[in-house]
Amino acid sequence: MKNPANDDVSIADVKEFVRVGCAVQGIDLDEAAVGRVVEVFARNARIAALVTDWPLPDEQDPAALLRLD
Amino acid sequence: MEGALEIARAVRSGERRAIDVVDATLAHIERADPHLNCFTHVAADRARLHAEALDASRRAGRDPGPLAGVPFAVKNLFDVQGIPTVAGARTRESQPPARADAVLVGRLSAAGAILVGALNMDAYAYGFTTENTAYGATRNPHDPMRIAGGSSGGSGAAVAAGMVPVSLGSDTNGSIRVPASLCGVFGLKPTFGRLPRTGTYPFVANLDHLGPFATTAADLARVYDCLQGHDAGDPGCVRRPAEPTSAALEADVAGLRVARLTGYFDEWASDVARTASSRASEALGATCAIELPEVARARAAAFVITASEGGALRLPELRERYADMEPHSRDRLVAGALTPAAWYLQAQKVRAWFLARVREVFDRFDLLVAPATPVPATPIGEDWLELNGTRLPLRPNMGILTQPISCIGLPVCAVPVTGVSRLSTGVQLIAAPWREDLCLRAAAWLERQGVARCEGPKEN
Repeated sequence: MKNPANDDVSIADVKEFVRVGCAVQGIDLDEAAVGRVVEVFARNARIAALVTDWPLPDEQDPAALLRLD
Repeated sequence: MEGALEIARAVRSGERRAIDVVDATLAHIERADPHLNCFTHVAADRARLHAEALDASRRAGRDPGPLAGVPFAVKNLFDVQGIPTVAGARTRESQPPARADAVLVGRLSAAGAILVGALNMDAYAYGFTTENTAYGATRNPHDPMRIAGGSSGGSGAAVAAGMVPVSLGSDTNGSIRVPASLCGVFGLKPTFGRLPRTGTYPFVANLDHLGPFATTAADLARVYDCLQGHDAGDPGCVRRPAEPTSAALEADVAGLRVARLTGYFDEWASDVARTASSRASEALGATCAIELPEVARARAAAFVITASEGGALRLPELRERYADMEPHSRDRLVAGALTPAAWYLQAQKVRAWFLARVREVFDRFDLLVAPATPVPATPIGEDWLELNGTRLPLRPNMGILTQPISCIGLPVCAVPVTGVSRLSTGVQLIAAPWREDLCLRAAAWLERQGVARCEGPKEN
């Protein structure tokens, strides 16, 4: 998975992702806020890389598995 | 500082009237709160009415309850009948007033405790400092130039200042344990699913816990005992009978298998925090120091789950009222709402993996000890934290030591350790799921040994 924490994704890519993501979600983010959100998103991505880039030692069940018992 | 059990004993015996306790409490709040900014609402009329009814009931020979006349206040994400539940956000002031009290407010009131107000917090509970731009920063009673911690900062500071002997807060990633540590009071984050959240404003349904603050372990245990019990209004609340803890508090800790957590918990702690953890561990007879596996990944899982669920929950407000929202949290909520589902699902898997590994540790140990905060209270307005040569953004990292534990729902008592620093610093006493009794027993033991104590603020 591509991750902004990795070198293969540029800040320009993240800016575009934030702009498009907000538009899709219906958030009217003004241009002045884009830089701040990009900064937070990039930080989240660096932290998320600790889970996304780690092959779990044993495969887990899907976390939200529906159980009817 | 007058404790809850002391007040309840005096009111139950008729030695004091509840109305006198309430009047003294309201006077104290009026005097102290302008300097500390703990309260966002003072429920003076309600408190006086309740106190007068309680006094009349006692005179009529009825049992006034185990917490008779004990004043308490709640983080302003708890529903309080008649006022809007603002959850630290100015945008929520236009909400209609709550039609009923939150279940836990109702349980304390039924036990005779008297609600005197609602307390400041980080907006939406998304923060560790209670530097709320709309309602102002809550100040630390031990040094008003410093933060109280968050997000239940008002709850920690009001108890530390002696304005109320008991308060309620919430803890998603550390929001009871961080202010308890920085303000020097006792706080309990029970097992996930133990206490019902019915009638509170949510932040992250998968991680939200509610719990009490108090000035002694005995007060904390008694209040916690009054809060227990299932409620169908919270789908996350486990159907489990109440398991009272107060009676076993006097037991010593001989036979308890205690370990100090090291590795990650040392790496991200200052000398002061490490010393507090060592001092508490030694007093509890810890036989060794151990490392939990992959703690940084567990913390990252908590971080991702929080960002994603927190952002998703606030989407309607982000769409409608972005410009009016609290600036410290709104950009983080937007970024969270953009979290890819693959990150979130992987975080949940890591969380499940970590819980399984930590459960194995509890086959060998009954209690784990770790620092609660990386450093004591920092100055209000500070943006950065220097920790063992690493510069970190302060606001998200004050909970760096609490997040991995709440991520897997373990019960934790935060305990203020004495003799370590001029400023308060606390440790986490962590037990296996549903063993709050062990956390509280260890807290009471540390208090009896003089290792833990809630010290009132010196005159400021």
